[in-house]
Amino acid sequence: MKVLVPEPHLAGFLTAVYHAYYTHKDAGKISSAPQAVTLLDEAIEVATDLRLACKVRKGIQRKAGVAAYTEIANAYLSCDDKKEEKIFNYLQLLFRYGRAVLTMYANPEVIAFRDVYNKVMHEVHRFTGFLRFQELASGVYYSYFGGDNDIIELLMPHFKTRLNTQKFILHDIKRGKLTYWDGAAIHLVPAPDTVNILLSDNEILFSSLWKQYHKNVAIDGRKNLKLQTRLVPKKYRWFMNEF
Amino acid sequence: MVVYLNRKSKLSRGTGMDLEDRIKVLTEGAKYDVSCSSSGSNTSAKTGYLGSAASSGICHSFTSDGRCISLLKILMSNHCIYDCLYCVNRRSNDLPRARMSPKELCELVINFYKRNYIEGFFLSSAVEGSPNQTMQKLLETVELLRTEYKFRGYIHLKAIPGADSGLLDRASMFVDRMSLNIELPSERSLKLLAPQKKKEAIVSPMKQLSETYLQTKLERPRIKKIPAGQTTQMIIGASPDSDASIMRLSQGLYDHFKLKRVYYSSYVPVNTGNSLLPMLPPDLRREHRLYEADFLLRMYGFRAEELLPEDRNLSLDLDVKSDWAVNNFANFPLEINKASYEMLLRVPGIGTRNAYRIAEARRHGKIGFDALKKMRVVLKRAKYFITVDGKFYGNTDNPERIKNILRGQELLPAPVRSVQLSFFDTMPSYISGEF
Repeated sequence: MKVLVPEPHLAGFLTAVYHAYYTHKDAGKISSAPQAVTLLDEAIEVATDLRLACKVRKGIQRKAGVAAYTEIANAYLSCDDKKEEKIFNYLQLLFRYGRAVLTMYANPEVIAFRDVYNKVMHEVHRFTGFLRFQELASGVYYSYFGGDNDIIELLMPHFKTRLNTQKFILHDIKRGKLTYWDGAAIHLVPAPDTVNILLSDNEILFSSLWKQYHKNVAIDGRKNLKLQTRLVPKKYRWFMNEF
Repeated sequence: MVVYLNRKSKLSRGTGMDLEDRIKVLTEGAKYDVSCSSSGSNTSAKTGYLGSAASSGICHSFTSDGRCISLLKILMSNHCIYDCLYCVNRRSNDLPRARMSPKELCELVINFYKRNYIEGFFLSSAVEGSPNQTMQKLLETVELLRTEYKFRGYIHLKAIPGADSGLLDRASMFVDRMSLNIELPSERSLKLLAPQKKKEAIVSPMKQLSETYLQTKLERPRIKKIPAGQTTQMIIGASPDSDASIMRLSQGLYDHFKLKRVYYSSYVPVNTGNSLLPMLPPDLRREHRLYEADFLLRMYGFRAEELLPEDRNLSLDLDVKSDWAVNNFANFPLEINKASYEMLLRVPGIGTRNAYRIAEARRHGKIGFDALKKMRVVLKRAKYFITVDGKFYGNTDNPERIKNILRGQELLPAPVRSVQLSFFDTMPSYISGEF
């Protein structure tokens, strides 16, 4: 089988989608995951072409609407190593049926795509709650975290509007990505390997008040650690100060 | 890697002790109020103001009892003039008393919010001095928070029964949601366990709030008062009221007062040595079943009279919808490719989301059994109540047998280990704060 191997970013993937329709019509799948290409397959590396990627984006938007494209772009942030195949399968339906694909909930390809998309959005929703900021001596609020999916760019708009009155930093330690809101604009900054932090005096007080609150508000007679673990998985707790 | 440069000595507490202790006391006093939701209000962010409210609600943490922390839930004061038998803050209880000033509370909310610990503020109070004095203080706090501190996050305020309607109306301008606790499911129980609280003092402000909500709903965004409506709470298992009477009361509250939620709080024996109160906490499954029934009223189109036609309690070992379905088996099985959305909602194992998806998906072609499985319909329950393209997949169509099979599948723990259960049993929604 012919496998198109794109560069591992959205524009690369969309370029490959273009080639799957026009230059390599016989390609069976798109995947940048190393394990996706077996001995029997023929790998074709695809060089990213922003012009072609843009064409595909516009095609999706014309066929199924702007929101449908946003879903695809967000699904691409997933950590699922089969995401490109799943999104490509879904795109084939989208190009064939247009908007109808949005409500084809019983179609296995659509379900596979929606699972990828929902997992990303579920993590985004959780992180809008789970992220913790620390006030630095400089007055800037700093938050470090790291989830399964690469969602820093989906978190920024939420916090930018909500916390528009304060300067803050989002730092995805797992991926070495850092964005900074200076009160007026968003900056993408290369993340250093080590971050040195000087906390404000208030920070220590409020952090300890929060830890105390988290403990006191629980009803001892109804302890249910299993449920707690399901709702705040342990994999997220390293960046939450109350755990 | 994150390295802290602060010296260890700065971590010592020193002057904060007093505040810490008061927060502890006032949190302990507020925690039995179960409402935690931050949903139902959609306040966009505004430049120069702190915060916004997401209509889905957002959970920021979960406690060791598995409850969501969405709001900073705290009492303004736990000095109380009342002596309600079931309440931890009752006057005759010997426990540390504390109060916080409006400014202290605002500082705490703002600082928690800026660190993303919380989605908003849930402020309640014991009745100190008089209902009016207490309500005045609460009003002062939320007004300060909204105007001086420019806070736009979610605020849930408890209204104090017996306070002037003018105070209530003014407070409703500053908060997203207000609530009055109905406390006990019948007037008889209220007289017995909370003799100083009068039914009228609770019901008439509820009526006022429901009118405020309905009127201003039409005038939004010009006038915005309690956009997230009102809720209430009652204690379950402290009085002998049956589930049927409780659900009829809830139905009435939803019908007449347009309540957003009724919360059921399983009685926790915080006070000992009173013969009017049960010694042991009730089986927690009862609270869980009441919530199931409540969701069926609000989101599935059921009526209380359908679920509990005679005066009895809900079955503890079978979920409410399955119980209804086996008792009304004449309605089933339903053909999944034909049944109306309203009827799909009544099938055990099909929730609101899957009912919607099935109704949408079948316009594109017939739905098969495998597709239902992939859609995560809970087939171990649903298969007894549906046909898929004419075929029945259950191993029996005898309702008594189905009842026994479903009972055997119950994953609920034995009564000894009481556990608060979650409402999710299929894929979790990413809109989780609404629960």
